[in-house]
Amino acid sequence: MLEVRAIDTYYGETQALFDVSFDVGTAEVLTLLGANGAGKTTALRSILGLTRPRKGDILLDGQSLMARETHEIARAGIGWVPDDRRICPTLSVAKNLSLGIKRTRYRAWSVSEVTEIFSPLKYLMAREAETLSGGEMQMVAIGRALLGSPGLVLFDEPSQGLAPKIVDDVLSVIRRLKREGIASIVVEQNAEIALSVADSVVVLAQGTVAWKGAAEELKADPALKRKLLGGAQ
Amino acid sequence: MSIVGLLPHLVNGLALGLLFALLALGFMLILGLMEQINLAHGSLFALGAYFAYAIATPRLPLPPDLLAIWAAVPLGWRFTAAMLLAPVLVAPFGVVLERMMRRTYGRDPLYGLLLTFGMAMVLEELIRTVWGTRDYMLPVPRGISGGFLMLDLIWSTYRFWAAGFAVVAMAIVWVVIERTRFGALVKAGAHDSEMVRALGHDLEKLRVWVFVLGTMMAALAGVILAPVWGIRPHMGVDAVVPSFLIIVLGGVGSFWGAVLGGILVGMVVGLSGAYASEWSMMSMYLLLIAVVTFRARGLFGKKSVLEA
Repeated sequence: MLEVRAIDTYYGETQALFDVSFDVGTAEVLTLLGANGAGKTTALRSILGLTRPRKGDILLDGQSLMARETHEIARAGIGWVPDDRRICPTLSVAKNLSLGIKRTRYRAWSVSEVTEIFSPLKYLMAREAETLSGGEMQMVAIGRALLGSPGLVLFDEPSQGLAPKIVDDVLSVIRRLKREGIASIVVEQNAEIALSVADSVVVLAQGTVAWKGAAEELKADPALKRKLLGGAQ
Repeated sequence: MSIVGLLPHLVNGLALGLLFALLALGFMLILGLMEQINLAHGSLFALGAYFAYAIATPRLPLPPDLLAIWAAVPLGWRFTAAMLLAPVLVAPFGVVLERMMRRTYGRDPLYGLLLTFGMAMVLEELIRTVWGTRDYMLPVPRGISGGFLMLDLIWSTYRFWAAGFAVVAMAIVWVVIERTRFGALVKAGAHDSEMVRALGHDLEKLRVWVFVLGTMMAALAGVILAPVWGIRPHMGVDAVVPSFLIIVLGGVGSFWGAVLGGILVGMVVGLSGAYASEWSMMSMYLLLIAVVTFRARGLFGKKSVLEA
């Protein structure tokens, strides 16, 4: 569904990604692993057009995203759950969720389906977002992404700063999305968490693809895992 | 001076303050979403007053027959039409200004300041070219003009009406900002424009609509204030300074901060005018200094990360 083709991405004059390529299939969970500064978040920002690649191409279902604005890319069916959640603190939970609602050609999600997945949200609808805990904010961020009817969801460090129970909930959502035919790209520092849901893996190191393959292959080879992810496990 | 003697100044100050608040809210909407100080806001306010004058008096570029028909319409209807139409006629100027400002977004705020300052000069010259340099007075329908007697004092009827118009206009703005998805988008866009784009919203369109809303609020304030202040080419400059001051005083981004800031400025200007009119304008600057000395973020502003 998504093809990233030899992209080079820069911040000003500093190159952050070098000739990065990978594919994500329908309902596939791909995890991007790597140390801090390896280019994982930049890869997500490149897909969303927030930091536009200067070279290469990104295609969604065969259509290039390179000339499209970020809001058009989102409307094409790409959802984003950023690492710092980026919920508007002065709006209620209900309004934050409503900002995500849009129709695409992928499966539409209703607010009741979102509150069925994250039951605490039912009782938090009227609360101002700035009073929420980190876990509750993550629920809002994921719910908001689902209400945008995505075909692909980009999760940036979904376990960051969360209690183990909430991390488990987030992982179950990623598994449910897979069952519903929705693809995910999961950027994680915690390789164990990421590999527990991933079908395929791309390991980034200093902005380049150091390894890519099936998650099972990496899980089955501890020596390779140590070599690639030594500092990121 | 007795308390009763002060009352008219307090009430006039309150009415003026509510109109200032309306003007400042438009200024704040644009500042909040675009992070740009629109120095042309006052000129849009002035244009609103001039368009209202053209519609109500009537001095419209219409064929003589049509103009005669419109002139025969009672002033009450012409005044109502001016209040409704002048903001709509000024809105395209806001659209053009927003279009010109696009290249300054995300850059040094000085570019936006210089551009809007230049636009303010252009609009003021345009007003001089079209309407000349003389002062005008917007006629007020008989039903809401003149005065009435209360507590042995003569009160200006129109000032009460003007305050009422301002309250109704601000209530509509409050509903739009607090109770609609558009308002939620404006707030979210002011907080994090990148996230709003990543949720699938066209920020350029949103900016145009916010500029249109801010421009229409400025123009409406111009129409309502015109019978009180009179209409003259530099009235925009007289208006933009209090607007900016009210936003800083109330706290950037706060609806109620702008309302309270506007009322405070209006009251201080009104009261100081009663005792020492030459200090009337100076008093609002002193008020600002007094507030920001003790509370740098303004009365309702959010605490900055730079504060201890």
